[in-house]
Amino acid sequence: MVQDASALSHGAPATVAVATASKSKSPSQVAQTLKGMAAGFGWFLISMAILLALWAILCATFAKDLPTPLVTAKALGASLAHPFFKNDDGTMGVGNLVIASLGRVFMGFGMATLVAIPLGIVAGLNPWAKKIIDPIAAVMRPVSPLAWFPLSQVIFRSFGSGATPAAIVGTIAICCLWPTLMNTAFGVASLPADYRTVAKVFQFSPTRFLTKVLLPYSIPHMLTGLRLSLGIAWLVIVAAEMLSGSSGIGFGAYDAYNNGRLDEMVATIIVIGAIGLILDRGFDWLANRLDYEKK
Amino acid sequence: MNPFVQIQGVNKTFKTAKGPYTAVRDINLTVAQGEFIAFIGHSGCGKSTVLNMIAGLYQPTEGKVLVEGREIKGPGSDRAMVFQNYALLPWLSVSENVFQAVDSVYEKTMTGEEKRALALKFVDMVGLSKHRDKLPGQLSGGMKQRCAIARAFATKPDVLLLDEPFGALDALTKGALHDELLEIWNDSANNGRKQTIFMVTHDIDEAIYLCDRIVVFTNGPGATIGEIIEVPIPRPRDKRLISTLSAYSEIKGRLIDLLTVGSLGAQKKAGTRDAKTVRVGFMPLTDCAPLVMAKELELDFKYGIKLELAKDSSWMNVRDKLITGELDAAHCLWSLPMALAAGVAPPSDARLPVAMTMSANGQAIVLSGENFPVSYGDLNGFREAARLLQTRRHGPLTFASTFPGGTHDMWMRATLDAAGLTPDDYKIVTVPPPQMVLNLQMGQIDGFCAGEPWPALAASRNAGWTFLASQDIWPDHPEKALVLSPQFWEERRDNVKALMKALLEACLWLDDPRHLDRAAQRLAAPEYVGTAYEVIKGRLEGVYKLGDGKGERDFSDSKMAFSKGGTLNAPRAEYARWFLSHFAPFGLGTTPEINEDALTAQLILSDLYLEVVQEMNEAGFDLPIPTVKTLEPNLAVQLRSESPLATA
Repeated sequence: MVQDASALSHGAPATVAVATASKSKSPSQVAQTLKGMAAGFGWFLISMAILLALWAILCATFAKDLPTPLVTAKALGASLAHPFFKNDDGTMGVGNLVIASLGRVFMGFGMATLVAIPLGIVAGLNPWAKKIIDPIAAVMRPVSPLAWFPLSQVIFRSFGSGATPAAIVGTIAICCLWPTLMNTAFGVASLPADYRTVAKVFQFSPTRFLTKVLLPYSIPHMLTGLRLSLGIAWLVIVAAEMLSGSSGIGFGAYDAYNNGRLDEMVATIIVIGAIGLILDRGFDWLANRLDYEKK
Repeated sequence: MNPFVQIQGVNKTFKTAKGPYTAVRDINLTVAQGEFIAFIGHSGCGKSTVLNMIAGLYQPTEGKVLVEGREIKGPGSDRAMVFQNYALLPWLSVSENVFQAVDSVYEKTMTGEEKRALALKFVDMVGLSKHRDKLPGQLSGGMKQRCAIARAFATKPDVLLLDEPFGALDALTKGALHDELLEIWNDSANNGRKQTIFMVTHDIDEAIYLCDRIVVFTNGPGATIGEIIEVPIPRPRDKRLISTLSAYSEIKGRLIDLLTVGSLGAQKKAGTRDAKTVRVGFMPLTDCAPLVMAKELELDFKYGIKLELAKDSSWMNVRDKLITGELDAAHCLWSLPMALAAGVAPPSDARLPVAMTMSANGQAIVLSGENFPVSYGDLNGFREAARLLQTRRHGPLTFASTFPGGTHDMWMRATLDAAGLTPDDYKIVTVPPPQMVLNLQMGQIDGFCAGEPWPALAASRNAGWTFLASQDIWPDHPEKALVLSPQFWEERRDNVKALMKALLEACLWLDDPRHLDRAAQRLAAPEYVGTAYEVIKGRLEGVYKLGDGKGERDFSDSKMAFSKGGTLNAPRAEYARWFLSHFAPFGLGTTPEINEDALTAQLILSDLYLEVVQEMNEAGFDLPIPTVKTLEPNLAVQLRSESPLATA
């Protein structure tokens, strides 16, 4: 598991150059940066064009029921034009769906974070704690959210009408606990001996050691874990909402399918993808703010 | 002068996957406040291990490290460290790196503002005020190390530990940092050179320029202190002129010898020596004269061997090297082989044979002046003063000798016994001879017994005075012997004889009073004893300045002797028996039931000596044939433990 985490964290430094460049101030450098961004956007367009082309080919050949990109674009335009309506029959605008889902995602993700970071620090500092936590993580991590959801329903049954929302949040929390936990533990355990020695020699108190040495050093590792966790949380919410049939963007997609509004279904999937992308990029931006190596 | 940092009998063994690894052993070092000490030696010699033990990051496996008399149990605010790789926290700015250390060390004793001001003062002092808000990643190596130095000094430690601080820097930056380091150290606002500094380094020039004493480590594993070299160059030192001083080139030469020629540790294996080379160990003592003169007079060539002399720093080392065969033979305490065989000192299975006696007399009991206001040799006065001191301290007195059960230990114990003190009244610690004077000066010990030149040096440095010469304990007592490694004795009988002949001739040469001046001059050289010629010569001629205003005393009839026409040189079995039978009465633990006769027969090579004397006499010498009748030791003092009263 540690190998996973290190492999992931090794991916991070690729973004360092971009981050440092964007920090520079002189006009010529700003121009350079803008040029770079334009080029990046160009590549993004090409990438999207290929995706659309593949989709169109799929529609033209054997997937005759699949809404074409054009039809989907119309449906997308329509749902984005009025994102916040709410009908008496329970159908909602895509904006409302997204907000409902994000609320649950952040609640589950937040709960997981509150557990995973302290636990990860403990596991990183104490070899015996790691030996206890590792097998538990190894057993629970590969279990699919589709399996966690019914279990959560059973666990939270006593919540009455709140049982289903609690089960969704619980499923998200349990699924996105592990990347943060493992990466935090790895980051803490990899604290160079020199920094530990400095803290010992200068008699740092436990608080000072935590806030001035351990956390600043392991924050990049924690952020890598959190970013993975958030991605998982967004994956899990869609699956959990489809199963629970209550509300949210996942439910929206499934509801559209069940009612034969295929164009709307594909449009919702695009929204799911876009929100996932925005979350990931937003988190990356935040991580760069907090990482001392990228300041 | 008080001892500030003391390292006492420290061993450090690490547990590794391949079994225990002894990094350092038998480390003894006493350092005064404000001394600048360098640790130098090859990689892996345990210098940093010792530094980390002073820092409290490691605990010694055996022995202890004291700062201001308190045993170190862990890191403390009285000690700060500078690391080779700077070890700055990369997420904190320069000033914040310094501030966090200050804030931690003075957590409750200073206000936040005072701590900020203190941190900035030291950032200024190392010239980083313009860069104080930068992160370490934006600084050059030199600037990073400046920041680390500021961090260490800003916590105002008593002891500063520098672990190869300038090892990663280019020569120009290094030079600038040396001067900045000295400047902060000297700064009067910062208590003016009160800080005791230990620095691990590989750089000889750096060590000589910065330090007061240079501690040279032998090679690991099981490294120990090989030699301690004083740097008597007055401060402030001028970097441009320093290399023109003769003291500088002498010290540098000695360091290069130690670090490049094989005298450090096990670089030279027995197999690499040719059949004629005989490697003989010695300690920097006046009575190593027969060895030095045998080499200087080229007597080794005369008898067809090549003498290679290896200076050592403690009798423990000499013992170890004789046992392993790294040394073929050594100029050695007469009773050391008996002390090992009787189990007074480990290993009790070692049997190191004694080939001949090399000297008699010339050792002395030295006492601290202020605590013992008595006259020379006044045993009753000594007892009264010791009792008084004992009552005042509520504890036993501490004396030092050079090896448990060694000759000095026996002379010390005989004196205490004759004065009427019992082993409950005192404890005797082992201190390598070159460190005796400093320990006495610092009040670590109340007195010691050692060979010249250390008693004379104690007198000339006002550290202590000569209370009793060993010849007044036992006239013409056996003192140093030629002790062989078992391998050398078993396998190279011809070389053993040649070595004995060369030494016997050197001893005869030293018998002539006209030769003493030349001998003193040779002995004073840094590769041998390395002490002032006058100090050596006075005692070699028998005129003792006692020290502490007690005037001179003439020993010309009973001074250090090497031959007396050859009467001294036989390895006498009765002397071995005397030592073996006196360990226990003097309070030294032995293995139960020592068979004195059997051990004597194993250790004393009487037949070999007889053979050598006969061969030399055939070649024209006139050496006395040792008498078969026993020559009972005739002590000048009355041992209480032997008196009928004591046994009754």
